[in-house]
Amino acid sequence: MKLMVQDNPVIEDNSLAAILLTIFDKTEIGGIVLNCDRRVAIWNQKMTSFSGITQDEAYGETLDTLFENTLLIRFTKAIDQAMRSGMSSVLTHKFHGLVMPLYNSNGGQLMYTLYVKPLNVVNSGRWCLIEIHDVTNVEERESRLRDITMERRESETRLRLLTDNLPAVIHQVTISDDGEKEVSFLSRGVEQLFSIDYEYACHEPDFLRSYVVAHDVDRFDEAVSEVLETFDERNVVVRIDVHNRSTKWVQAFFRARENHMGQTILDGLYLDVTAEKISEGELRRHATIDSLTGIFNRRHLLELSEREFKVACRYASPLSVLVIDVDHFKQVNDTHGHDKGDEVLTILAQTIQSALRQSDVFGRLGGEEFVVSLPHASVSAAYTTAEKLRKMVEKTIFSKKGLSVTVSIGVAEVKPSDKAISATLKRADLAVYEAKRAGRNCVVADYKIT
Amino acid sequence: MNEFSRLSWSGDQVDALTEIMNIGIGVAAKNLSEMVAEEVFLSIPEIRLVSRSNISEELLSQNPEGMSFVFQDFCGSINGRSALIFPIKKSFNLVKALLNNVVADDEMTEMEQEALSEVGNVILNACIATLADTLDLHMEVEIPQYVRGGAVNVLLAGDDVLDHSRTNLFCAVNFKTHQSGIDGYVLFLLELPSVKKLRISLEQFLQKIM
Repeated sequence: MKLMVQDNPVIEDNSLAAILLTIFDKTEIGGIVLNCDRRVAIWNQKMTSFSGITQDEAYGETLDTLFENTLLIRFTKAIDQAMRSGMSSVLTHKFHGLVMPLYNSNGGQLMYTLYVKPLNVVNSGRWCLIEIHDVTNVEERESRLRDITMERRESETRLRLLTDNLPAVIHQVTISDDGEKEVSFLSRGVEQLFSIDYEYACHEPDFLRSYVVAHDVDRFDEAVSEVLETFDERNVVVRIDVHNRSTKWVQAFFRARENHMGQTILDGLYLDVTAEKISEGELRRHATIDSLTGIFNRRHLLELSEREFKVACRYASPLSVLVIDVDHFKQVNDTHGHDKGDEVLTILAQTIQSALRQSDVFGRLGGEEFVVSLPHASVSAAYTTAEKLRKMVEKTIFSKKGLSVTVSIGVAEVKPSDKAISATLKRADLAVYEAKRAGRNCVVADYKIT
Repeated sequence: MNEFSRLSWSGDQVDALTEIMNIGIGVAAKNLSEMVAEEVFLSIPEIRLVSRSNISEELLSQNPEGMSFVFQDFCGSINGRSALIFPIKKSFNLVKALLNNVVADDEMTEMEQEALSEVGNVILNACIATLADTLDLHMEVEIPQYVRGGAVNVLLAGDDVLDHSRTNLFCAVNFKTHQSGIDGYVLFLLELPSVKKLRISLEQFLQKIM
């Protein structure tokens, strides 16, 4: 390693200076030192590797000569500034493709950051140090990183678009060993579906549970803990209270698994099944309710009465039935119209209903006929009830014009010989016939207890 | 103006300094233009002298989201630190504008952000060189250091402990760039003896030309 100043060797021995020079020679940074005449005084091995120009070729030459005037103007100006005014400069490849034609170890264009620094050399005015740092690897890494980030972002966007537009909510909670829960995914449908603020739900892993009505919470908890224990799939249908304004039905599907980091991932899919539930309810109602009067229809009435019959038989407790028939109903229809007739039936039903016990079964048999099944009532008790009802109906005003209506009631108690409630009803029916013959607006009981 | 007169600077001296900075920034704009082969426009709305205790408050309040800065220390006839300060978000804009990139803000890489070092270098060197040439000062200037989102103390401390009682010269030059509309500061932090020296140099300069 030699240091030449105007053809006079300065250092040739093993002094500290020589050691330092050797270090500079072998450093990973490209290093050039220009003397006060702008000629190369030091050209290290890295510079040879970057430029293909050997140390011997470089010594004593100016950079312009070595690179045949391909140097960037800003670079030569920076050298000027360093030597004349003592200013340092930095040049990055971002702004300048080629400050000098240099190549990296792969033979590709070198990407670098270049520093120009003034050196005050004793008795020799200002020299200049040029450092060239290879940033090719850094650039490549950053480029790859950017690609990965872009891909991830695109992927995330796709997922979001997909899930935000589903009529269901996708919810994922990550549970660490220490029990810490974190929402790892939540689709935006949660706002529309449950009227729950998205931001709030993102920070509340148990948000859904907090909306479940008290009655269904246990079932909900059970389903979730089962899933977490067994890693089986479970689903549960619960009601949720949405801001105390309405209740919705939600079907929640749950699944759990463990990830590669030992955390438990709980996946949830939530569907709004309120509409389905309502339809279900409607269907059930249609099957059991008489659409005009709102009380049980014939089918349901008979079904329930039959049930009471079985219970009464099993426990040997009494059971009586009343058959109630509206007097002169055809006349009401003919005189006042069928709408009035319907109204009469409706008011009648409500009136009777209000006077009955919870346990009594009351329904419309058909047309102007009604039936009441009275559990635990013997024929005499039933008779008393029937009489009460008859009086009530007699007193009731059925229209503003003072229309009054009466009923004929037949009473019968279940006999041991009755095979089904229909038998009892038949006898009550006969009793009604008797009541009509007796002049209507009265109660007749079938006392034959054999 | 008060701060200047407190240090017994005359109106002429302040004007001279202002003019020198104007020229310096003009040179900077020219150099940047050459670098990016398109016109870069830097204008100076204002030049002020601010005390050390006020500058950190002001910088913080005007840049609540943080600042990026490039600073270069110098020594010789006068000693101190020159700095270029941007609000952190705007610093990206400047680099983008100069690099003609369409990269989104938060995707800017470390290397791109460090390109600010060179921008700072060009601007600060132009200002310092103009100052040195005009006033016949001799200084050695070190390479720029780039700090993103740094604390103001990092900028202000240098090698000395931050001392609010001492009045140091802070020359704050606001400037805007053409398209990006970026407000930045050029700051000169000088120790008291250097402040005095600067004033004397300005006076000598004024004597020469009058």
